Amino acid sequence: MKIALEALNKHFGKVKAVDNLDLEIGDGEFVALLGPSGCGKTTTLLMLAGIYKPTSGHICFDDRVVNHLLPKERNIGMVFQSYALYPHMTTFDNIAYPLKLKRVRRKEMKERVQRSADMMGIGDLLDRKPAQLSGGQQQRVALARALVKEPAILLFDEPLSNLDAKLRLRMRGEIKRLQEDLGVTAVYVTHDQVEAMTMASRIAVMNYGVLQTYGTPNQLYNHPDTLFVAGFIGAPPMNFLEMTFEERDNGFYLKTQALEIRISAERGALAKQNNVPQRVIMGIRPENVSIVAEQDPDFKAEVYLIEPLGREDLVTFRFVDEEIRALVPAPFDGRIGETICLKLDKEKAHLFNPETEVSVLRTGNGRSS
Amino acid sequence: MRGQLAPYMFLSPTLILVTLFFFIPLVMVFILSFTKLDMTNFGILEWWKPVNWSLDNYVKIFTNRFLSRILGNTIMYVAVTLALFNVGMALVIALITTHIKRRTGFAFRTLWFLPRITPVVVYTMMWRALAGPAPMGLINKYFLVPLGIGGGEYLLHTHPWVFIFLVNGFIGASFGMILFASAIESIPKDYTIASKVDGATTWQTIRYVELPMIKWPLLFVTTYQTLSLLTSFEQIMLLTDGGPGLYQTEVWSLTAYHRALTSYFGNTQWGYGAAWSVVLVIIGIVMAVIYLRVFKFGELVEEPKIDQL
Repeated sequence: MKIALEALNKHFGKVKAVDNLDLEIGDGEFVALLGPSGCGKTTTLLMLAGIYKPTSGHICFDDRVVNHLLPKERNIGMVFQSYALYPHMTTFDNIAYPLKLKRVRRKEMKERVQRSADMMGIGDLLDRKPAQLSGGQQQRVALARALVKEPAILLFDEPLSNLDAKLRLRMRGEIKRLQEDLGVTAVYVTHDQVEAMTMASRIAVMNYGVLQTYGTPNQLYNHPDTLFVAGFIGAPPMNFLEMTFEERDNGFYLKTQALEIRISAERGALAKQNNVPQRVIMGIRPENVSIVAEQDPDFKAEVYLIEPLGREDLVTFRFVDEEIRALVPAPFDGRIGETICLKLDKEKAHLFNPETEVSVLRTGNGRSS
Repeated sequence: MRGQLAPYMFLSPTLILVTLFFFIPLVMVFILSFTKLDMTNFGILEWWKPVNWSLDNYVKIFTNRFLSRILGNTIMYVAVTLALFNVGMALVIALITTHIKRRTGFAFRTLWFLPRITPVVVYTMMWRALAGPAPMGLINKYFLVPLGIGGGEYLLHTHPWVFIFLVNGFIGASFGMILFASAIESIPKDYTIASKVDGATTWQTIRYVELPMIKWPLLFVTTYQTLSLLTSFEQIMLLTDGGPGLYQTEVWSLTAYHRALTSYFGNTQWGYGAAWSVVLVIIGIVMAVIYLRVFKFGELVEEPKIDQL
């Protein structure tokens, strides 16, 4: 089922929990709503579920406005962070609950519950109460309950946050595969950008109730539109340096007290076309900062902190008043306090207007290059 | 040694009070119930000596020709007040006030608390005034007589039980209401959201999700209020004093009071009254045990069994 949100608002008193949200989700698509806590993503989800009534705007399922429909009329399955399994019911009764409410006949109910439970690998736990199940098993029961009524839309509200790291990885894969197999439209709320990147076909990043950007994981990672998205997506996060933008001798330069880099004429012209201010924020991901031998460094910096990550080491450098982090091949053989020559991959640098926090490397279609 | 003594020191004020004013009287009432101590032989009868003990009082109770009426009254009084008000009405108010705006709900619950915090004599006298005959009684004056329903008689004479239920119920409902409302409000929102998304109406959510989750307060309120109604008699005493007919609204606890502590018609029979009380205590204990069985108390406090993480 297709979902379209049009100028959707939800206000709680003076607080704009969701502010003028436009979003389209294709049939069978897996979309993640990503943002820090309190950004309005769960409010959006609860409006989709029919729990909250929008203050204004439209929610459409397949071109049909569903604002007025009760949750039970929307054919939705939902999975919660807390699992929300009814503690007084057995696994069977939990999964059968949506069918019982639909007055499905006993025999058919039994078959469908067994089928969903088998699909989730919990077919042998049907007579247990939730308190007798582990976290992972409870999550599977919750999924089976959401799937048993064959919903047109699946909603996930941070479903993996309560699982331990290893189980989370496994369930992440399982949910993604399950959604692909069933072809059901899924909306997945999370504050974990890795979860959003790995699972979703498109990510809607929200902050303060406002949609920041909406795109594929690759677009968001490689061409972030706004400073917020650039900083939120990616781990370890992007480095930001305040710099001066200069055009001289037919070249474009970015300067601080300690370093000066030249950027390509193409990108410089694009920035100029987007009215780049003199003071800009340059963003560069840690993997685009590299250590070089003495010849031709962009700048020199002192090793401040080394954090081994196994495959790579995350090294924090300090120069003048600034700090920059680099992902370097492990093992990094420098010592703390040592001065090292660094180079930036200028083609991967992002430039943002500090006032509007919008990228000045956007091309005509709104996407930054 | 000092360290071990300290906890008992802290407990001692309560222990002393409970011993003096609960355990010792309890034992005394039990012993008294086997004696014929009353006002005429007070100071003469050595009631603490087993030689003066007999089962006569109990025989007297169970051969009393009003026993079935008193027992019937008690069962009706407890059952109706409990079902309609102390649990029934309490649950209805709690459910309604937790499914509307929080503030409105809170205001309603506060109103329902007024009967409980009004002094019992003032409150009961107010009801007597309401039930009074025309033209003084407000119910008669403003409702029954203008609507032509009644002839303006004293309503406590014509419908004593209705008023006994109402007077006790309006006090009793607030206790369950507070407990149920806080239990309902403490149910995590996710459960009700899940239930609605699963396709339930509000009523189905209450029936299948919320009520089972407040099973413990339901058990507690039912048990507690049964026992408390069994032993309460002050409102009935003030309203009808067991009348208006012979033993018409006399309940068990009121009988115990009448026999032991009122001083006319040869009463003030402390031993006999004590025997009525002891039977009531036994009835109460039996009821509590039955409740715990019916509600499967053991299962409610069962430890979770997790065998695999």
